[in-house]
Amino acid sequence: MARQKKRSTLYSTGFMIVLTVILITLLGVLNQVTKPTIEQIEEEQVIAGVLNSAGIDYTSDNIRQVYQDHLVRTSAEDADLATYEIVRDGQKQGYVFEYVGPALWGEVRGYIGVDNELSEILGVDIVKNSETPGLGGRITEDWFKDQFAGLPIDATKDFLIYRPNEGGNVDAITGATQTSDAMRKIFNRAIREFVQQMEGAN
Amino acid sequence: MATHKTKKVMLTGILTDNPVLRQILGICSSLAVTNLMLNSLIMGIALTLVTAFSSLIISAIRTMVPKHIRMIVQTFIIAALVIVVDVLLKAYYNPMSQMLGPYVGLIITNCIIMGRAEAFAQNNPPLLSFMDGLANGIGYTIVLLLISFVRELLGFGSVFGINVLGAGWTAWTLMIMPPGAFFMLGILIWINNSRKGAEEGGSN
Repeated sequence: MARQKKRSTLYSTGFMIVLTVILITLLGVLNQVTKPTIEQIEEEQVIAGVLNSAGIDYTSDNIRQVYQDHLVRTSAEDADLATYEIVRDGQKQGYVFEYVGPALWGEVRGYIGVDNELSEILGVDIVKNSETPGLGGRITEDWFKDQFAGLPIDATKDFLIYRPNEGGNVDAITGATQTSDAMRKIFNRAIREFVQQMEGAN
Repeated sequence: MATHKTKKVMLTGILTDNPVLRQILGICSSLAVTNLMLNSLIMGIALTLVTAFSSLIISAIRTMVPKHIRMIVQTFIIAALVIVVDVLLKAYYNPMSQMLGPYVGLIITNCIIMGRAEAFAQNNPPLLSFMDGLANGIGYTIVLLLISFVRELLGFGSVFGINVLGAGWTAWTLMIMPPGAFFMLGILIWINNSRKGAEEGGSN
């Protein structure tokens, strides 16, 4: 009797509905509880990304203050790609702009800082990526990102080139050729487009 | 009696019937996240927790679940638990969440969890199933740590991110690439199979 009852479509459907309600409620509660924490972390990651690419030092305690003091958002709140001006002692020191592009497994998003004359990279940072952990995912390591700081910009061509190619100025990641190459293309394009846009505006 | 049973279950899961080395389950992530020890450890802990708790829940409701839809129910519970782990990592250990990336979500597909649910939790009491899940998770973690220890040491010259071989060490890049994982796993399975008495189960 009991066995027959359990085999019925009604029992199975009812069972799944009850289970669904329980699990969804559980996940919903967890989501609500952790939402503020996750949002705060994500916001701070964006701020850290902007500050890193602007080449401005900060500590985890004063990050928001430093950000408020030195960066002015110049793009609209709902703009897809944000742009900022770097301000120091009331003087405009350069720009930070957001980039997005396709890498090996998915979208890469981050920030690039350039100086006031658009002649030099101040720094780059990667905020979001879905590259292979331990391989392509190493684009977020400091040694990779730090290589770009201080490089002179030449927006007339693809000026970022991996060594040992002729004119190479940065190192790719061993074992992550495709991700490395995607990053080179993304950076070259983003910088070229930003420079052209700024020159067009003046 | 109960403790004797628990002991046996623990020993089976960790050693004699190790999920990776003997059952050849969970190979995908054993190959993928073992280039750094820290990644392996966190992945191991996450999988251990998911396996243990999914076994506990599945065993607890095993008499209520209609047999013909049990797989859906199991997958459902496992998926929910993996989301819990994913959200907790995002909120309280964000750097690791970023490092492990898509692999956290892929815990759902780890055969060890479903394997334990089907092979053990389905027919055993909740607490024992929980211990079984725990044991298999620990067995998996130990193998991952063994593989990643060698891979990280030779590939980066470090252990848990701390450089131990010095700056003069020439990194074996091969070890941190996919082939390094295959070599290590193969060698471990070979060593394990040549242990005295390991063949016992193989003849069945």
